[in-house]
Amino acid sequence: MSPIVVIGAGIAGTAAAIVAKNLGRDVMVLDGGSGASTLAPGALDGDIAWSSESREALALLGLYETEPALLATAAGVLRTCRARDKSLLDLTALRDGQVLMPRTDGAAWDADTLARSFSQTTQARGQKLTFVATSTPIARFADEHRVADADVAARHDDPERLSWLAERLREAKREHPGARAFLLPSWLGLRASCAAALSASVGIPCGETVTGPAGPSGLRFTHARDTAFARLGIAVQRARVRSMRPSAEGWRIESSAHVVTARAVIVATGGLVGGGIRYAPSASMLAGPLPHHAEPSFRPGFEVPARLGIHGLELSVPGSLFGESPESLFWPASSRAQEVGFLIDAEGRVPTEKHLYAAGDAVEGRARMFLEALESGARAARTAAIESR
Amino acid sequence: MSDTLPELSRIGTAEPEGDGPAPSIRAPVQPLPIETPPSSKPFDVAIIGGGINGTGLARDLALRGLSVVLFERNDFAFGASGNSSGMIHGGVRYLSRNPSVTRDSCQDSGYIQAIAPHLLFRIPFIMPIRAGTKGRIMMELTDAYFGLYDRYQPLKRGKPHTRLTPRELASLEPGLVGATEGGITFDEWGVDGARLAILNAIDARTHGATLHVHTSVESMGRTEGSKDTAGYVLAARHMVTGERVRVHAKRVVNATGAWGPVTAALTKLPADRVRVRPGKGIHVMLDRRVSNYGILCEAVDGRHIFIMPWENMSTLGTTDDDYYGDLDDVVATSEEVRYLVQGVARHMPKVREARAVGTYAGVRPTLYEYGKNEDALSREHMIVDHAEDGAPGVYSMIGGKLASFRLFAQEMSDHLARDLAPGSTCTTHKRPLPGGERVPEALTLSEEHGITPVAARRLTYRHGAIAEEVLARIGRRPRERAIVCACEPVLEAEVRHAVTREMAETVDDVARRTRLGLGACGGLHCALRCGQIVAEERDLAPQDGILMAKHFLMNQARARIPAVGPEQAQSEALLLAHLHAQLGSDES
Repeated sequence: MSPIVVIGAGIAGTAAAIVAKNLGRDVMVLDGGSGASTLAPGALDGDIAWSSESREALALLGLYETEPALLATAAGVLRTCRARDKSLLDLTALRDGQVLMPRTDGAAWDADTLARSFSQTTQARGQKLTFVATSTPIARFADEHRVADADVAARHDDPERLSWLAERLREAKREHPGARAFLLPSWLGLRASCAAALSASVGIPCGETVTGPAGPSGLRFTHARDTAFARLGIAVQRARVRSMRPSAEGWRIESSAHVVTARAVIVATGGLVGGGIRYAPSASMLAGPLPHHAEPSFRPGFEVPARLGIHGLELSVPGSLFGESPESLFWPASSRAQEVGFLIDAEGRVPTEKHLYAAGDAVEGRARMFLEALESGARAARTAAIESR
Repeated sequence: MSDTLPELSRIGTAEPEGDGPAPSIRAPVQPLPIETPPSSKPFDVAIIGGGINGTGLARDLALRGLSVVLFERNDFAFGASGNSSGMIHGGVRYLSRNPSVTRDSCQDSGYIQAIAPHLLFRIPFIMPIRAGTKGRIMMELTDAYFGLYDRYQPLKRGKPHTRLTPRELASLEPGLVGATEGGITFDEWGVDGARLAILNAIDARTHGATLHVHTSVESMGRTEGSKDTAGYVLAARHMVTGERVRVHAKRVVNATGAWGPVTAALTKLPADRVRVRPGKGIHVMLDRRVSNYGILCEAVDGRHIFIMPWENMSTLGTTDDDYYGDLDDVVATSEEVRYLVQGVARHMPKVREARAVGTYAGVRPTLYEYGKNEDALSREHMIVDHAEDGAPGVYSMIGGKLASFRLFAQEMSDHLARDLAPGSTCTTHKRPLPGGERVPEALTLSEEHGITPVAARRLTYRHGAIAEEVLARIGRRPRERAIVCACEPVLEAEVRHAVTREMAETVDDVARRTRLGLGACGGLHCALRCGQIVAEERDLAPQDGILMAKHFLMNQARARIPAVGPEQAQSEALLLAHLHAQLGSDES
């Protein structure tokens, strides 16, 4: 029996693959490259009901804490989240004391300004916490300030380097008896999170700040995902899908590398960030010779017999040769570009086709959230696993 | 100098030409309210407006030793001065009608080069001529026309024009399509108009002028007294802090460009004496150099538009439409963008695939003439004397171009100096603007301070000799070597310099001075950090820095979206995801 194929290896596709496998089905994942999940900095949002499958899938990745937390971000802000990458420092339980922030020469890490900024927040004052910049040297080599965070994070995968860091932080802790935690740049591991090991060694919680896209958190996700897939026996192929259409067994999927057949397909190709949905105005910035055919302004990133829509309605063809005015689609004037996606029913099915499902940012709905993508992946997989036996 | 006063300006009463409303409908002269002046000594001149005219005038007067106060409602060069095509024109279009305008434009372009050599860069232009009989005739005519223009090129150190065969044209600019008779080349000088205005402002301040930004003049009254103390009282208010200022000045100059009539109304002068016909012009920025040279193209309605390499990007421009909207909030529309792309794509189709990373829009303060098509309107400048409106000693500067700002300022300054500083002469064409005295070697700076050569080069472009002062900050605080905006690039030292020395108060102001956040990333990496730095330098709460960054990001998004294409749409989505992650998902 042909397997269930999941197109897309972001959080939605990962959740779908794990859930389908745990329900006893044969699963293959087609990983088309980086998208929103790989670029995510680890602060997880979304208003979800936490089904048992979602919790299990996330637990299997071994990377996330599923309790709400209070995080510090590079914008100098303290913000809450529903779940988080374990490497991020959770400030919720900290009271009456200092959070130490070692200085580095890195461009984006201005410890003094950040510390002042955090200390002035309502949350910090309410919890009687002050953030203090310290001169503890945490960069081991002179040129480390020019190395990208993700690469320094990889250096801390080495236990020897990690214990060197722990030693520096213990020294700092001795000089600051009121220290309750260490807040660090995004350096705590690439293959896995080493924040827990560091905290145990130092004696007080140590964790990262939420920094910009393309940091180690997204890369930690890819490692955790690949490890989980290997452990569960989920086959992965690195390929960008070009098209899919119905066939005798179910579906025939053509990618840049090969052809795959499947009984059921879960499309989790993401939104604009990953290229799962493309903004394709009818004359591509414009006004060339008259277009051959009129089309909606958004289209899927690959050929698939599922329709894009918004608010339950299929996208319509714009009433102009030049397409819709982008001012009516994009932030700040409009959220339509953020909400366009495949139309599905409540169980994740693409209504017009048999054994075709969709999940994650690829699906139409309000602004994109990691946890909602996770749940929708789990939901689609449950439906697909049951229906396509 | 004063004996070669060009025929451009007509100091005195201004009669609107053409079909304006009959003079009898003009608003009756109202006496200004009498006010008690603040106790401090009166300024010689109060200037309302911080564009190129206002700052140019402030500098000229300050260099003559007069005391000057200037009020700018938004930021320096917020209006047309900061949103022009970014070129010092030689006035070539006036050659047949009014050659003295061309000569004076070229001569003054030469002066601007002399006083700010670091700010100007050469943009050779090509005008392709379409094949055919009409084309062959056009070729001869254009060749002859530019042959005459060549006479003025030495004044602005421009090269003479050349004539290209179709083969030469194709090899110089392979992206051009369509059969041609060849082309004509001519020289233009590119300039950062905002920096030009800001350098004038800084020089004025160095020589004693008092400058207020983000401060709007709200009313004007008269004071009574002797010849030395009679004058005007201006009341102004800071647009963010609400702080109020009252100044006493002997003379007042309204140099508010397209806002001229608004200023007149606020100061109780008849708005129709300061009449302008606001002409909106937009430009589209592409993320890289798309053409080798500037290319003159023909739009669908026959207007000349262009694509040109400009600093590290390309610019498409421009439109010219009567504007009836809010001058404080001028935004390009997707229709205007499409008009430009259509016109350029006819000559250079690959522009359709190019990635637009922004637009900018400004409003030209053209002299008012009802009935003429926008392009045919004069770009001359004019000084209005409000003595006949019951306000002697109050003037308005109307119109003008970037290329002849210095000349316009000189005319106004000469007139004011007759009473206030008799015997003084204008020196603005001789004395270099700040940083213009010498341009340091970028590579030397790059090695000395451990920054990339590109960053050093951009610094010397924007600051000239003052680049050394900016980089000296790194010696005192090594972390200021960090790059805040990678697209430009802009160093932290330069951001702090913009706040502490160039009067930047917000992230938008820093962007105007350094081009931070105006590249492909749209502020993704630099806006929040810039807000942090500005808040820190100005001793504001960190939350204020975040608000400034958000304001900047929203404004820039509104400017980028009209030109958004598939690649840029991805970038916009990434930016939103980043903001949600950094600020919390309930903020937006």
